[in-house]
Amino acid sequence: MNRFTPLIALLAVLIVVTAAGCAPVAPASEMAGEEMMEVVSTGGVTLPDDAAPLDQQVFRSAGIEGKHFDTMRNEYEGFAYEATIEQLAKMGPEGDWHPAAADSWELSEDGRTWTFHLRQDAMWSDGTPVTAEDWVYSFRRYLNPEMANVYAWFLFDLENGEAYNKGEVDVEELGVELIDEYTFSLTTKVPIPYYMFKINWHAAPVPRHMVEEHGDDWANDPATAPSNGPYRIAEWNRGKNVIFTPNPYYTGNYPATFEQRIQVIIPEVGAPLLQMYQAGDIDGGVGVTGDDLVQVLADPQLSQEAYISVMNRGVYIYMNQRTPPFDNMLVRKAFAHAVDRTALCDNVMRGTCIPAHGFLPKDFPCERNDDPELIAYQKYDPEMAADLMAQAGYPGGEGFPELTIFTKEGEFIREAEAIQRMLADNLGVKLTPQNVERAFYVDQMRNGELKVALNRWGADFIDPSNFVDWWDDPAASYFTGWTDEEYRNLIDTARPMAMSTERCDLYHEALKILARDAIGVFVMNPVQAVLYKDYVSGLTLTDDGTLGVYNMMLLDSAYITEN
Amino acid sequence: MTRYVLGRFAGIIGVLFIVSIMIFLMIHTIPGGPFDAMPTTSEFREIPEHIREKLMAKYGLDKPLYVQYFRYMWAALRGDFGISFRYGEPVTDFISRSWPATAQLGLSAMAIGIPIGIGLGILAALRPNTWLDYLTNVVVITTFVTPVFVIAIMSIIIFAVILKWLPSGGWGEPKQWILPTFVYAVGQIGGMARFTRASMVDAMQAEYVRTARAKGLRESAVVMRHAFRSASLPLVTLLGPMVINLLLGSFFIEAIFRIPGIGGQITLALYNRDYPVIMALILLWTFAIAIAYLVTDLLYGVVDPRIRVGGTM
Repeated sequence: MNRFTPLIALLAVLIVVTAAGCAPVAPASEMAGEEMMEVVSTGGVTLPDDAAPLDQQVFRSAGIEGKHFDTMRNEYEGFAYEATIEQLAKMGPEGDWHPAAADSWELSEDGRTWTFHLRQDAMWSDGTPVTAEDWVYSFRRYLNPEMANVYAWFLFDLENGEAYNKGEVDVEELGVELIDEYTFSLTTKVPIPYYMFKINWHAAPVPRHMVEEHGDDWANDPATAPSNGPYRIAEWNRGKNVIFTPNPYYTGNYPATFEQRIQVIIPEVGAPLLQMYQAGDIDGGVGVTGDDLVQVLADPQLSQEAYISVMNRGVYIYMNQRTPPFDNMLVRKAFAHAVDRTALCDNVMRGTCIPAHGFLPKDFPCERNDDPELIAYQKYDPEMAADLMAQAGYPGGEGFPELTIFTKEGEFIREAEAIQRMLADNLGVKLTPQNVERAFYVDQMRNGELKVALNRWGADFIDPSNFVDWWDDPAASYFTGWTDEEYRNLIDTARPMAMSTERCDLYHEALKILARDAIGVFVMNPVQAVLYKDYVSGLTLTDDGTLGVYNMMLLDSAYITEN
Repeated sequence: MTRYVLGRFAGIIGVLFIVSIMIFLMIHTIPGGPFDAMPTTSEFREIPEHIREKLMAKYGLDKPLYVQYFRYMWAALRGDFGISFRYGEPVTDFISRSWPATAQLGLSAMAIGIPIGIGLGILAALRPNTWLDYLTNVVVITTFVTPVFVIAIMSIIIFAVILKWLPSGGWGEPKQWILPTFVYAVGQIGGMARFTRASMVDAMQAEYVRTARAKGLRESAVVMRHAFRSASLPLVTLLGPMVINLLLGSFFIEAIFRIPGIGGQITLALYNRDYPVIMALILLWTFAIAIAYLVTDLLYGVVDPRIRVGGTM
């Protein structure tokens, strides 16, 4: 035999194998001869007349792979869990609260103790009752020092929350109390009027019976990870998808309308989300910004399916104020007046952001970004900027060090390019934009090498405290090098107050300090479009037809129409 | 021969040890660690120090480097490559579930790309400087210079978004295999064709080809048995690393087509400072490349009888 033949034979085999593998499959059979009949979901919901048959009641969205299903260990490591967990209460599109796992709740006279009365017929998807013991167990576990939960700080405002997490007090001292089988209470250190946002955004019970039997591994396998929400986890195909199906034991207020909800797993970077959506491989929940947003707005079909809003996200220039040159307030103010935010958003970003002069995003509670006094602190004024720079001892940028303006993870690269250009033109300073990965960015921030960066803050929950507290957080002020007594007094006074004009006045004063002393240079809020296919009907929207801010009920009545 | 192969294997094990030390030192030297900031969110938040210390202790990262290294190697020798920080599953599970997708994709792409590349190269070499040669040149250079992610996105836009013939990505059903396989195969054609043409043009002018023709052999026999056989020697050199590259996957192809393989993982693992995954993948990579070169050397002997490995004539 020719000695070369084996190679050819191998290739031939490979070709045959591949060709067999590539053979196209027959398309799914078309539904024919449809008659009008009532469609009732497995969850027990009678769907509207225009609903597609049950086998088409599938909603697919995209998300990155989670590490587990344990929302009470580290929320951001877990999967998008809105389908499987039921919080104590759900926030509707207008920011109103609706009973979910709790039938009712009340706040004590002193404003510190929240008592929750649970729905008594609630069951885990394996048929075990959900009791107050599960809830108490979950809160205690969340803060248990042994868990090393990186998000433990989120509940540090519970009585003794931080002390327990540091191992300084026993669990009995923690402000979480079991009252009876269906009642428990949470006590905070100080009155926190917005506490409902916090605990319902982050808290759901873990199935104690499973955790005690399987340890933390319970959340790695759908078989040992029952849910208390309308859907249960049916399958986790690592790297591909997670399939949620109706929880047969669910008895609550939000029964499943879909037969399946599928989370298609996408890699952390690189997946062409918009193309996936256009190809019909996902049905909605696709958020697009920047150039994709421009494309969506220009497309007759996509623009019809887009829900557009200003994101709850503030983008600002971060400056390390511990060392020169940014320890000098004149330099920071010069920077603040040298950035042409309108040109940035209208020309460079082609309308995909709105200019900002304050830290709160547009339409956030207590946002008063139109206040002329606030705008004046950081208004674009190249002459004033140049004057300030000269006063600071750097006339025309002379003697100013050459610095790197950092961005991370590919975000805000173009914005940084434009801003360095504006700073060069208006102040004569030279900043070189450099985009780096997260770990390096944090390392540079930590060791003080990072002097200036384009950074962002996004809301975890809807209260101004979530934004203003950050600057006074010990970790943040360690990096910025900034603390201020007046600022701290204002936010400490405002925090426990019930939402009111007076409370907003205090927060606005605090925000004006940030702008006045140019603690950050506030630049813009990005605009986002979230896409849902036109055959996804019944979305729970705000009165003016937007998705709402952290609307937890968006998909509760949604269904697929005939298409 | 056996002694030669065994000797080479011993060498490979030595290389693996040296590489393991180098990689271990490098990943612990680059700035930033796995628990410096909140995972998977872009908002900057510091992890409280007392929690960070717990996490470092949990994963043994608080120990001196040499202790960490010996612990790692001791476990690795028994087949335990640790648990991925990012995915929370044993690295061995992670690799054994991810590699089949990458390997299937690579082998399919090879099975399509290599014969086409070689075929184009031979065609071009048989009629040098004719329209056929120029045409293959255009095809070859176009596929060679166009980045694979451009071809990938273009193919999704054409076949998934506009024509709606194929899904935009994913992995599992055969129709999801088609686009990534062909895009990946196209990327292999250029290099293969260029090499084949170059060595075939030389071979076709060799004396033994003239002799073969003079003997009255059919042209196909002359081309395949005489010219191509000797021209394939440099191709074997090219094929070894190429096969390994294909088997280890492509970051762009796997990320864009959402393929749950290992191709994208080394980049992501570096990005997440997922030390156990980085170590395991680089060791695997080193091993695969070393084996590929060993096989290539042995193949020389098959393709060219003048070459004898590990012995004297």
